[in-house]
Amino acid sequence: MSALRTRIQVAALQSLLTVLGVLMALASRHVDRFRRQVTRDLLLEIRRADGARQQYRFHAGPRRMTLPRHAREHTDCTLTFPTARDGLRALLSPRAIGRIVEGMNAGELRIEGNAALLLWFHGLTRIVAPIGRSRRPRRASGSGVPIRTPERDAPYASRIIREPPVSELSRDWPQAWAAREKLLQLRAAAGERLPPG
Amino acid sequence: MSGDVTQLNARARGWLRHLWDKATTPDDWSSSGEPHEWWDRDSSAPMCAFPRFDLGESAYALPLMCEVTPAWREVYARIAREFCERHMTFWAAIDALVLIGEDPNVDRYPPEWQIYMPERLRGAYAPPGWIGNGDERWGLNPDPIAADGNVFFRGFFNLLLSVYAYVSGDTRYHEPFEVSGYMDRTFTWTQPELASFISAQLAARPEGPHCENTKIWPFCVSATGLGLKAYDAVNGTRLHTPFDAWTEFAQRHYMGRDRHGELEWFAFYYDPIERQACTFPDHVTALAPLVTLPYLYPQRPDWGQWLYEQSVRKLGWSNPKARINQFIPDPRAISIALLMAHELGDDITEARLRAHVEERCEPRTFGDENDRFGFFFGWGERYPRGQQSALLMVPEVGGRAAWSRWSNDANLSKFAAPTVEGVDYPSVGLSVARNDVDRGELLIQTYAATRSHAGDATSMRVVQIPDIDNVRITCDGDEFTAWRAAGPNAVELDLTIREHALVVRTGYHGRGAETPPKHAASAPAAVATATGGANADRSAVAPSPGAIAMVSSCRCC
Repeated sequence: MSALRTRIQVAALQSLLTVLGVLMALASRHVDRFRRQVTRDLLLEIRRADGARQQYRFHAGPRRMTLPRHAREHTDCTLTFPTARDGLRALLSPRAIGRIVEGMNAGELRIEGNAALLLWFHGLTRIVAPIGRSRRPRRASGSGVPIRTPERDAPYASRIIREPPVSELSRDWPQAWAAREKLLQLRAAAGERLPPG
Repeated sequence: MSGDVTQLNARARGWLRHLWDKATTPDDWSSSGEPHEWWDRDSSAPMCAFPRFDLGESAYALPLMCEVTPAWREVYARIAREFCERHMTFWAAIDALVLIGEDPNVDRYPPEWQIYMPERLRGAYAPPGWIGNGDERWGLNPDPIAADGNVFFRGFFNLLLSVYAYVSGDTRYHEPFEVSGYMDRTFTWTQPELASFISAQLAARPEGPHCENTKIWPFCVSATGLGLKAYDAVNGTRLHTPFDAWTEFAQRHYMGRDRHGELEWFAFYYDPIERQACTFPDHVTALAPLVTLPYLYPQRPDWGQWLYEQSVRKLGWSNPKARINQFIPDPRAISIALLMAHELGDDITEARLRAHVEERCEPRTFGDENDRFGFFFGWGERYPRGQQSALLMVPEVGGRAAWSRWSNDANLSKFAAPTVEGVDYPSVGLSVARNDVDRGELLIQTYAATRSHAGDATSMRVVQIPDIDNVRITCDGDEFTAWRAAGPNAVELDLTIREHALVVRTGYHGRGAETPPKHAASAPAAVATATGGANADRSAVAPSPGAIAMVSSCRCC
């Protein structure tokens, strides 16, 4: 009975992973918000230790996600659940990341590779399966966070020099342009590999 | 791991040596130059990948070292001054000066950075660090200090200037200095003007001024508050007051509790224009309050301790049965958790995190004579990573609660007490330098800061001695005679560079209102009892070897 139950759970997890992948692949064709986030070639995998397995391949060029026909050995991040049941519970939970963290802390669940990619992947899954909530400050009337305008009246603001808006760094300052190109902000956007830490 | 630290241990001495190198080696932070490669502009990207964060965080060890050797401060003052001078340059404000207008690359950032953006805005939103100076709403602010936003420049700058004031007792930055701005224009400020600007703006905006256009960070507002608190501590002002209103606001708007009253979410930052908070999902949300705690806790220990306990529990770091997982490939949160565990006396968590750091963060000596120290993290880099090492050094240098003490219970009496000056650092350093006001003695231990200079002759002065006629000195337990008067209140000592334990009987017993705070008077009680030299009439009696041996009692040796 328990073997049968395990086989059912493995099949259910495999189905869930595949359906999730199909939905994400579709989103990568049609949902602009999804496509804008696909900026690197990556291979992620979610698997059970000895059963269900699904890889998700991201292509930065066309900004697509596909499901590889044949699994590759090297991935950028692999999430391994100890059992299919654990996988189902975590992935269907509104607090999926919390369950994954608890599993990692207990030593039952493994993440190999860059765990930040899993957090990013989780954000993508929520485009096609918006389970759970996005947190934001309360908007009680009159007590929300105010939207400010530039301060002009307060005494301290007399120190603020405010010049007309500009859309880019002045071309008359070439050394600043040269320094700008050395910033990680620019290098990362250009595709340079991130340094550790 | 607890208690007062009374000696700079080997790691602290090695870190000090490295900081000295970084601070005093000339490099060009102007728009035509580039900082030396040892200045960290990679860590905790994208928000901290600018070299000024290395300036600020490298300074954190200085007030703690100054508490360990309050009678030897010149080395910390020199390092802090060099940091301050760099913080006035183009490269310190580079983000405000070159990341202008709308970000053209919003859909090109790597996934690792997208997790630092609100989920709904990813791919269409400037990441942290893109300040967007000059945008339509706020206009172009050529002065990196005077702006509606950019609080992460002026807030941390004020904190750094306050560190300088705390270790030096000098009001150099109460005089005008020039800050580099857009198109290399310069702007004149003083620290009192800067601190007043920050305080007035915080009072006017209890939700917190923003950093980037437009992101409000509890991390940066807290650091800004700590800078004001430290400024008040040194100057006797009350500019920190508006921070209380921010903490009330932040608890209502920048965090949430679940139905059990536990921490449910905490805003890494909040964008009032987009009305979106950047949070991490579920348990990982704890990373956001953690990085805020070194700044928040000294100002609001009740809230800070609660956030710490919630965070390490959510992440499993306080659970002896759980593995320690980092969750994101940035050691900052673990470094800060260790700092806070040490600060709060959470021994179990501290032991677990220390073991993790020792195993994973590659602490080691390096340099010409293998006398510098830092953390390399296994990244194969030539120098220790600046920001990350600086955070890990705080619990290495200071004792329990030392981090919050210097801004809460400032030891200003040290400036009037006998002080060692003219130490030929980095040839020779002092690992112990403090006054025992009960016994009227100045306790000193020297060491060869540069090993190849061991055995060379050197000299140093002890100044601010109330009565040099009654001065007596012992060195390594023997009467020491190689000294002479160097003015009405100073003596000069001739030594060879190596480890020496000196006791200078100065007759200094504090000065009325300047009685040192409790922590400064924490010279080991054993000293007073073991020497037998503390006569009731406080007459000059040569200290015993026992006293010398005990002045160096500390957790590291």
